[in-house]
Amino acid sequence: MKLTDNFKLERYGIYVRLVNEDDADFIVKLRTDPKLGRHIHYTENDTEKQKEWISNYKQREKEENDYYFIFYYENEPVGLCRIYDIEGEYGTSGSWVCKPGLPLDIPILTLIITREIMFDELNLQYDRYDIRKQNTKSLRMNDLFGGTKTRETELDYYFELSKEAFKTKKNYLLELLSINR
Amino acid sequence: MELDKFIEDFALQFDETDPAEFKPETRFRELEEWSSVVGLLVIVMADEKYKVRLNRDHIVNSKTIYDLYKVIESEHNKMAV
Repeated sequence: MKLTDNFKLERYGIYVRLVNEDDADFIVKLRTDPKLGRHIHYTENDTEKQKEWISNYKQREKEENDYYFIFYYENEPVGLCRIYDIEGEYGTSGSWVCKPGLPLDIPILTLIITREIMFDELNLQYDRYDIRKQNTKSLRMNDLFGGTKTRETELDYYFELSKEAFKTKKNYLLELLSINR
Repeated sequence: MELDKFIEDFALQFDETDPAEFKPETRFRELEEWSSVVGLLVIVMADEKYKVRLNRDHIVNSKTIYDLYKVIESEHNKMAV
C-alpha cells in the first residue's frame, strides 16, 4: 500500500501529515537544536538547502520509497520521523526527533504512530534499523518496542521489529502512558 | 520501600548524568538529560520494580526525586491495603 501526498492522520491527540517545502524552516530549527544532543545526524543550518532536500525527497515519496512525517500537538509542529528504504515487506523507521519540553507521552506516541503507519497503513511486516552501540537509551527503547537483534558490527547493532511483536508491545506502552486505545 | 534504593533505581535510568547529582532534593525534570525517553524508562522501572503505574500527572506534579518516591510509596501502600 502507499500513502497519497495529502496523507494525514489524527490519533492520541496528535496530528500527522507528510512534510512539504514549507516545513523546511521548522525542520532546520529542530534538527540543529543544540539541546537535542549528539545522537541526531548533522543537518546544515540552511533553509534553502533543506527545501532542496525536501524537493528531492518528494520524488522518493512518489516512488513509494520514502515518507517523511511532521507531527502536530495542540496545533504546533512538535516532531519529525521518517519511514524509508521501503522494499517488499520491509521498511526502516528513523530520523526521529521531537521538540524538547513536550508532555512526556507525546514524543513516545509519535514513535508509536510512526510504527502504526508502517504496519497498518503501508502494510509492511518488518521495521529494520540500526542503533549505535553507545546509544544506550535508544537500545533500551528498542527493548520496550520489541525489536530483535539480527547482527552487529563494531559500532552498531542491527534490529528487526515485526508487526506482531510491535502489536504486543504497543498495548503495554499505551497502558503505561494511560492512553485509551 | 527504601529511599536510597529508589534513588539508585531512578539514577539507573540515566547514563550521562553524574551519579552524585541524584539526591532526594534533586529537581529531576531540570536535569539536562531528562527527556520523554528517560521519563518512560522511569515509568517502566516503577512498574517493574515497585508494581506502581505512574502517569503523566504523577511525574508533572513531582518536583524532586523525593516527591516521586512519596508518590510511588503511597500508590504501593494503596495496593497493599
